[in-house]
Amino acid sequence: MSDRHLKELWKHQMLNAPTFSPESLQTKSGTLRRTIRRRNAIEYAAGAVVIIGNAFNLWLFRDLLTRIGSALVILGTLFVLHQLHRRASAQEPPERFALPLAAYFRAELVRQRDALRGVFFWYLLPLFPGIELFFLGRQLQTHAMHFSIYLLYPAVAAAIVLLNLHGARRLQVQIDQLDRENDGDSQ
Amino acid sequence: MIPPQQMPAQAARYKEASDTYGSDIARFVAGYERDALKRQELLQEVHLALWQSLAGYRSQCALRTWIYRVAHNTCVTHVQRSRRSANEDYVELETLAAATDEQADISFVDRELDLSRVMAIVHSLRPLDRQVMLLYLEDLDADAIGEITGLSARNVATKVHRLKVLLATRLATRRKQS
Repeated sequence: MSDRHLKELWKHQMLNAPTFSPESLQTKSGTLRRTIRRRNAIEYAAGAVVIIGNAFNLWLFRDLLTRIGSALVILGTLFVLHQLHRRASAQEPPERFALPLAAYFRAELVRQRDALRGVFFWYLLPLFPGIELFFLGRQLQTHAMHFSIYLLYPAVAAAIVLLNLHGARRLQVQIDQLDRENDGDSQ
Repeated sequence: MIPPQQMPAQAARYKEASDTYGSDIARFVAGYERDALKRQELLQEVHLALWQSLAGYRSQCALRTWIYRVAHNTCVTHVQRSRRSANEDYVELETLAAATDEQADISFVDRELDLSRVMAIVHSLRPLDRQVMLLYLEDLDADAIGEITGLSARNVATKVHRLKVLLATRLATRRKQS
């Protein structure tokens, strides 16, 4: 098959090419924004529940370790909420889709890799000390020592981190491959 | 949120883009998504991204370059998100049956099979190679492909050469088999 025939074959596909009215796209755009706002609101509400629950613990329990644990959980949750808010507010402009393809694709891979690598530091680690201290405080008070409870959070966190690091490594392979291919390209 | 005063200019640009390049966009989308239902969703997603992006269009590049970039980049995000594996080289039975019943035209069936093979190759390519392939199939020259992708013309020429060899070999194999 010649070059010309191949391109004709491609261009004469029977494909549906619908058109969309600006109004419908504007409406869809608004719906998407509302969905994102709703998702963020759910995350903030979940954070608020954790804060209220631990504030109640602060009032309820009198021993120092439990109270420090609860206070640290509140601080950790505030930090996580701040990070969520910062990330939600830093939405890239829609023009980013008009970047040259190679640059866009690389930036997307880097963004996804960094997101996977960063979860431990801004989502899991801030809550760790507070949760562990809270459990320790409660166990010392009740004299019921169950060491397995200390391992629960680290075990779940470790599983998430390992999965994320595996995903990040796969993305890094793609980034390296792109860089090798584009090595020498000045554009 | 797009300010209301920007809406008419944006709407006019979008209409021009949609009228002139609507079919091109549909072909690009077909190059990224084979499932008909998901393809319609992706098509709408591309048009939405195009509509939103045009608010920031200040003739930084040709309108065609802008549209092609938005279409491909939206599709790449879709592929990354869905992480679909390469599709198999199957033609819908209904397509073939309709072709033989209604048109009794063997060349039509042949074209469908060739197109299906081309699609299978397109869908198996990594994003950047796929973009080069789709732009080559749209009959763009190396300079134009370079401007859209950000790759050097030399790199594009190398990729296009390899893709042409690949296509020629695969299509020749299919014809021998049939």
